[in-house]
Amino acid sequence: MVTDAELVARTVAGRTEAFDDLVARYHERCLRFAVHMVGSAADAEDAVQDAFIRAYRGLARYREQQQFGAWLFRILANRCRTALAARKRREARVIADSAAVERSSSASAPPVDAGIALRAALAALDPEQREAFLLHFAEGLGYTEMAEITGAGESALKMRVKRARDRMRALLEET
Amino acid sequence: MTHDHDPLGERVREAYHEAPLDDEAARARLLEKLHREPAPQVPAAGASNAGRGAWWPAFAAGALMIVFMAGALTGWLLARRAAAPVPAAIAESESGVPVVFALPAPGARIVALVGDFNGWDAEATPLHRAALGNVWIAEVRLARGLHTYAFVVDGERWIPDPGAPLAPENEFGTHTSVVIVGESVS
Repeated sequence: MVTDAELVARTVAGRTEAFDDLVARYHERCLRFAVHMVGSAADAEDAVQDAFIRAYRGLARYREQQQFGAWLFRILANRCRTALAARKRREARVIADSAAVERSSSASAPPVDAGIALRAALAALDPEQREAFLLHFAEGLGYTEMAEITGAGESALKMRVKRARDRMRALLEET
Repeated sequence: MTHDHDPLGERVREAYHEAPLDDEAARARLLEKLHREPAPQVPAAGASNAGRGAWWPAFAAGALMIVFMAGALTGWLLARRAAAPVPAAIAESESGVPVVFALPAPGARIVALVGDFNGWDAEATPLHRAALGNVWIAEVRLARGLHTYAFVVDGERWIPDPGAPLAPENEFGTHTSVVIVGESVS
């Protein structure tokens, strides 16, 4: 299997179709993270598009000693933070989430139901806690990798994860 | 990769990875944008500019400026509205647009949705408890436009949606939330 670093090298050398393979490898994972991070499918897609395009334009700054996935996630995490900050400035909630149509039509199905519940609970978390919680629990990353992605220290991340877990337990566990 | 072995973590991971995504369509839209991008800049002098878009740099610059300005205008227009922080849906039909409301309410026995669309009737639209714990969910069909609503917990506690902006305080001194059902932005 061709490594991420090789695909990057091919892209930078002018064989830009190699970047399509990187998109195929990482797009779903990025979109899943962004949807849970920013809440709306439209905002998540914008953040993911922005992250990939920034990564593509900035490939010359990518260094092979970095994991491409971690580098991309760092860009994506920043785009999600920007999207959340932009949301704060908005005035009202608009229902315009076309990607949720199919989900809503089968809202009684357990996985869909659980997915909506998860997103509602995540929306109640502080964004930094939500980011740490998703990276650790949903993406299964260790604290060293999380520190690389978020730019935060490991002890701060551990505290965010603990607080987020306590809050999520209160929000989600049956009483 | 690391996983803490606790039941909550397992359930969160399951819900996270099973949540349906419109990944294919979104990826196609991304690739379409990427294929219009010029090849990434190589730091070495005299680097090749071969690859997608290399033959139209001047046109690309102009087009990008137009796209940027159109994007800025669209962004400004959209910023006057907002995307839903919690999953919601739009699929217009004769009977309205389906919208999903969700409220985390630990300890609640019953939760109902009240709003201008159901006459503020606390028995008209009960929420059901989600498979994942303490979040309550209801789907209703709403006409396009602005609506005000709130949740009623255990038949007596009236609370606005924590994930939505507040409407001005009403004549009864209670707070409600605002939802605008608009056209799709995707």
